[in-house]
Amino acid sequence: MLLNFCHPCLRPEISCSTISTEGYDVKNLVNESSQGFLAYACIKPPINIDLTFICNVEISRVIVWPSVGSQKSSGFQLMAKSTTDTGAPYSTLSNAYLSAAQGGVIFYRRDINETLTCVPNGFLQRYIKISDHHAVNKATNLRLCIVKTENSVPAIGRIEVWGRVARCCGRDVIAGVNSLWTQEHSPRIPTIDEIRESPTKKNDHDSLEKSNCAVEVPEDFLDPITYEVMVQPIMLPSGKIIDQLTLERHEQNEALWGRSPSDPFTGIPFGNTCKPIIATSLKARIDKFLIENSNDDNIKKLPRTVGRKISQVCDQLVGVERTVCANSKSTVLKVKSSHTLKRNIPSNLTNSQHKLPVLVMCTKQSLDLTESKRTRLSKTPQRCTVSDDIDIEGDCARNISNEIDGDLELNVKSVLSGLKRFNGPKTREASGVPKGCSCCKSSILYKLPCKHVICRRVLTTVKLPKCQHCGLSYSTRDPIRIHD
Amino acid sequence: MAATRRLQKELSDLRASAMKNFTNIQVDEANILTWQGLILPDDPPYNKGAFRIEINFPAEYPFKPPRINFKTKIYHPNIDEKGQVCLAIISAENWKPATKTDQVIQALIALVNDPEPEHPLRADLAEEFLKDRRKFFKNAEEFTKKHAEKRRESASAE
Repeated sequence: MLLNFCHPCLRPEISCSTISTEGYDVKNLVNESSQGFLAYACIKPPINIDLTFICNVEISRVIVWPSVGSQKSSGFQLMAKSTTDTGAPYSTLSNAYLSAAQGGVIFYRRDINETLTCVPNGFLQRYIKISDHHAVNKATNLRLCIVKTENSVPAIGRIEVWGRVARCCGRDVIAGVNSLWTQEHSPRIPTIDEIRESPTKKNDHDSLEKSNCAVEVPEDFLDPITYEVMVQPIMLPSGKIIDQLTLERHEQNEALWGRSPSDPFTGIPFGNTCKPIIATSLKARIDKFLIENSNDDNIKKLPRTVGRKISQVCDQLVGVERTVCANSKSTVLKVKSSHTLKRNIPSNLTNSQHKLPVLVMCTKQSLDLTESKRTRLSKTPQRCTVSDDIDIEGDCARNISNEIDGDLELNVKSVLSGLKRFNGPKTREASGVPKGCSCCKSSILYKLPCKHVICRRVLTTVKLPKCQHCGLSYSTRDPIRIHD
Repeated sequence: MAATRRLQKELSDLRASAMKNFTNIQVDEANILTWQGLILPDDPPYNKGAFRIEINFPAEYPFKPPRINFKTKIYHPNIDEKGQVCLAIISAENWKPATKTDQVIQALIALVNDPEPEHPLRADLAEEFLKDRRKFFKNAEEFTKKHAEKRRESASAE
């Protein structure tokens, strides 16, 4: 039967070569306290921790948990001697240097044929040298020397020394020590497995905590094709939502076969009326989720849209804003507009954490943004000075969202409708769309390719498919229903 | 690797659904790109045996289709001597990334049950299948008895 000679019931004595942090005395390692040992903050290794056992011990294994909170010792030297004589030298049994990933170290004897199947996960395993028989087989003192730390204060969370009473002790000593142990551990006498269990307990606890922390990503945040968390969800004509990256890869593959972009679920090619759109509400939910769980390690690794590319675009936008304002000499206006911008975004959203992703998400909506700015500017008396800058703005917006199209714009507007004060009622005027039909107040309105709006009555009665305002002809499938 | 998460999901779904016709799914821990399993066709002449197949997923999965190989010899117009099978759903041209492995396996089992002699890999068997169905069935049944693996439930029933 193996005994833990660090257990309080076997009355070990412990001392340390240095002073400890208050509340983290080295005695914590041999009493019931779970605090552990921390040296005083300014102490540097090496530090000796000396254990004196109740009797001579045949050491079988020594397990060291080197962490207290975030403090961790990383280098150890294990020494022992077989006399209590203070002058006698210690003989080295083993050394261990932990890497950052290793949660502890177990020193064990090679010659004792005991299975080490239950070694706690991530523990470094080191042999105990048995060159000095006496030190190992009848140790009275054990010294654990902390020789290295990871930028931290020398620390020991817990130490266990498992072994048997040495054979050189008399029978009465063996019986006495064993009875001390069994008294404490009765009614059940710990088996090897149970002994192994106790060290793993802490680890189990850790992993349990981890699994609790591991945030479950909602199923609908996952791309149904790759099962990765979506960065930029896109809704397909088939109603499925996939990641933009997935769609792009699918389109690349389709292009290899000389086919036009299509829905990866149905294979139906995208057309004017059937094309993917940004799933903005889902995007907002994913971003909210990512931010709320940003402390989780797994969530941290997930990709997000706050990349360099987009921030460059943002910089560009800001730059444009500056040029416009400098040239138009209406700094007051600029300050005011950017002020309202900043103020309104958080106030319109339930959670101010949304601010960043929503802004980033809106990069494609920058067209609207700049347009609304254009309106504001064009309403000022400095109208003519601004006109040049509108071009710069327009160019930039075109560069950013070259591929922007009618549907996308509509979608973007529907999103921005949630941010009413942001771009206000002027947007529609800005994009050149009259608010209503010129002939009636019907609520069923259609938009023509030339951006003019007609009502259903006109659309159904008119013989020649031609816009009444600009005379541009259109085909029957072009008018798009406007939903307010 | 892009394929890992999708394959893990598909594998767990497949194992949870416990398909009647596709059992003993074995996947090497180190390489999730290669699966093995037994398919159990329902219709004669193949309903007496189990056929081991190997599914190889490319690293680009699900953007590139998986490949299926028969490890067990089978007497079938659409499966050649090397075990290669011509299945439309996983041809590079027809492949859709949304297609799940269980759909592929269903399609494979359907092909095994109903050979398509119109586009065969083994013309001789296709001809026999079209001209002398009874002889084809007899040969296929004998071949199955000789080469196919035993079905576990049929073995226990006997």
